[in-house]
Amino acid sequence: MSSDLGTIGWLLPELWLIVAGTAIVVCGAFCPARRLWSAVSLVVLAVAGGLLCWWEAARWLEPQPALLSGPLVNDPMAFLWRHLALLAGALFVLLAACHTDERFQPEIQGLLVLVTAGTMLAARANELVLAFLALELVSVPTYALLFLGGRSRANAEATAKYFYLSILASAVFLFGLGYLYGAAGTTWIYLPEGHSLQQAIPGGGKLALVGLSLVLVGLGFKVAAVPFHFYAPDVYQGTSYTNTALLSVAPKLAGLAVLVRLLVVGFQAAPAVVWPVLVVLAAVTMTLGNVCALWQRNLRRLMAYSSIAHSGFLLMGVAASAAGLAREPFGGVAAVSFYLFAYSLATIGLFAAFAAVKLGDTAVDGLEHLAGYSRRHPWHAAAIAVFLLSLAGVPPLAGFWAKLGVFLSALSGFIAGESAVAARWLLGLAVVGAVNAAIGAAYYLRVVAVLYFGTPSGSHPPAQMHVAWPLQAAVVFCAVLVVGLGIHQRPLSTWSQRAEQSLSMQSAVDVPAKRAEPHRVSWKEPSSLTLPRSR
Amino acid sequence: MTPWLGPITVSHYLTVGAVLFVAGVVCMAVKRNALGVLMGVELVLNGANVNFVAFGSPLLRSTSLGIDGQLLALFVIVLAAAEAAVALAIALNFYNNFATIDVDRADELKG
Repeated sequence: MSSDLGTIGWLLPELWLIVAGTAIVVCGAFCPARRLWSAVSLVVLAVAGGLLCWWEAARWLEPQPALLSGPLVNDPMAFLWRHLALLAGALFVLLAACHTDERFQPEIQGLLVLVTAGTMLAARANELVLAFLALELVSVPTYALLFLGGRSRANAEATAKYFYLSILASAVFLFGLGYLYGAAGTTWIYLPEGHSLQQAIPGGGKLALVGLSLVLVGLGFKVAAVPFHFYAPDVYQGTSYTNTALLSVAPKLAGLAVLVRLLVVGFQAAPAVVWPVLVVLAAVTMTLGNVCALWQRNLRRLMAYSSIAHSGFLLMGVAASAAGLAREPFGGVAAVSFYLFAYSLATIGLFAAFAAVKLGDTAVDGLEHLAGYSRRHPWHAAAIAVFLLSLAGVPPLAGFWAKLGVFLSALSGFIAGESAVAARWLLGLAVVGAVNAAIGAAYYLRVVAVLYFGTPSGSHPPAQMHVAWPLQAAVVFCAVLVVGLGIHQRPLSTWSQRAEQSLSMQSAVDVPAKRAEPHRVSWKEPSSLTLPRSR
Repeated sequence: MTPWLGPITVSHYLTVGAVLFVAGVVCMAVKRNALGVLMGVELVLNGANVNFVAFGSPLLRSTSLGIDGQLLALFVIVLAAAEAAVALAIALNFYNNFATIDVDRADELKG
């Protein structure tokens, strides 16, 4: 498929972000007014959001088949997830504006803009190569962000740890991608007609399975799924709150987008292989994350395990979708989209709120430092409590509807009377999920209890609120959205449903017709495979 | 026909790629030096590259896949260069803090 000029139009927001992000890094070397750059990147992100709406919004008011242009797929899911990426990007910029070393302000802001561009590209990659490059566009600036401005031993260790594990995960992902390419003879995930992974994989055999498992390892690292999660607590502990917010949202968003496209659309012809893996991954991830979080005293480690546990819930939605059992209106992809919004807003808001709590002149670190904080700063403590309760899934906050959606998507096959094995497994997964929601509530509520009823010990100075308007703006914005989405979730859930519908249109490609004559990689025929002997 | 006497096929290249992959992963697991670990990563990336080029080569298979494989290999080479640049900065930062680049000396973060 050739790319025409229309592709430029579809790519406009990402192109703009990449050009502007690079320009911010370069121009930052010449401009002494360092604080200026956070304002510049906010404007850049706002312009990208404007471009996105101007070019696409009108097209997605009605559900319609995805438009392909070059290696991009343009559908409501891409539209929705790119908005989330932009929103998260703007919140990262606000966090970074007042939390990091002032000397590196332009570099940090430019790199954050690049991360946003990478996340947006990952949300719409219809081709494995583009997906890989988009994931790397998220990863490489993240390494630099972890490294910039940190001078402590803990920061150096966290950076090295994240870098080496992430780069290994990327390399494994790439290796698996190579096998998929070889087995299918193509890197396209979805094409309405013609040769894509959808039709190609059933004939691919063992090579495709090995490739798929390696790709899952790479993506599992990005979303911090067990057993590729062990970097998270250490890295979160050793870095700033800005970076923890980035790490807990951007790679997860990008990784999940690729995971959904690959498993729900690309591998929908081989669901029997995919969903058992996802069910097991989801159950183990949420259980281990929640149980380990129970005895954490360090706020960042606690949030690291919390983010692992939320990955488990997100994978539950993907598993329901991949099993092909999730029924309208409880679609798995719709649930995952909604969950990502609720999770991202609450997590970023929580990290912004923690970043604004200072102990002397260092950021607050341990759970005990928050003791009795509500008595000094009731509004700020209330915001923290709202985020924690939303993460715990307490109604009527956004996190409750998100969890409900994920559970319903896992249960919908069973409710519909489906007798497939998958339906029973997903029922079991939903039970595990319900137990986990209770465990999760325990440690989130413990933090709330310390905030409101804890008595401060005399061994450290009392925690004070650090007044910086970008942080406060981020906290207020997230809190309003978390409460607002809880009370009035209709618009977002409508968009999530559209995302689901567009994906199910893509996975409804007529595969059985092709399955009779699967594309076979012909590298076993020696006659056609010989290297020319004489040159 | 034994593999030693027959013509060279994609499978032979895949074997080389798999050996490089395993060597790279083992290198990452056992090396303590930060740059040694980086070399392990490069081995894995280049193992993947061998696969891409072999799968994409018109000389090795009957159906042409275009030049996707070769293009992908070029992307990976550029990416490896970018990652090496970041890796050196990170290794330098590590050295400034720990006065060594043995990554197993870092044990600040646990719990």
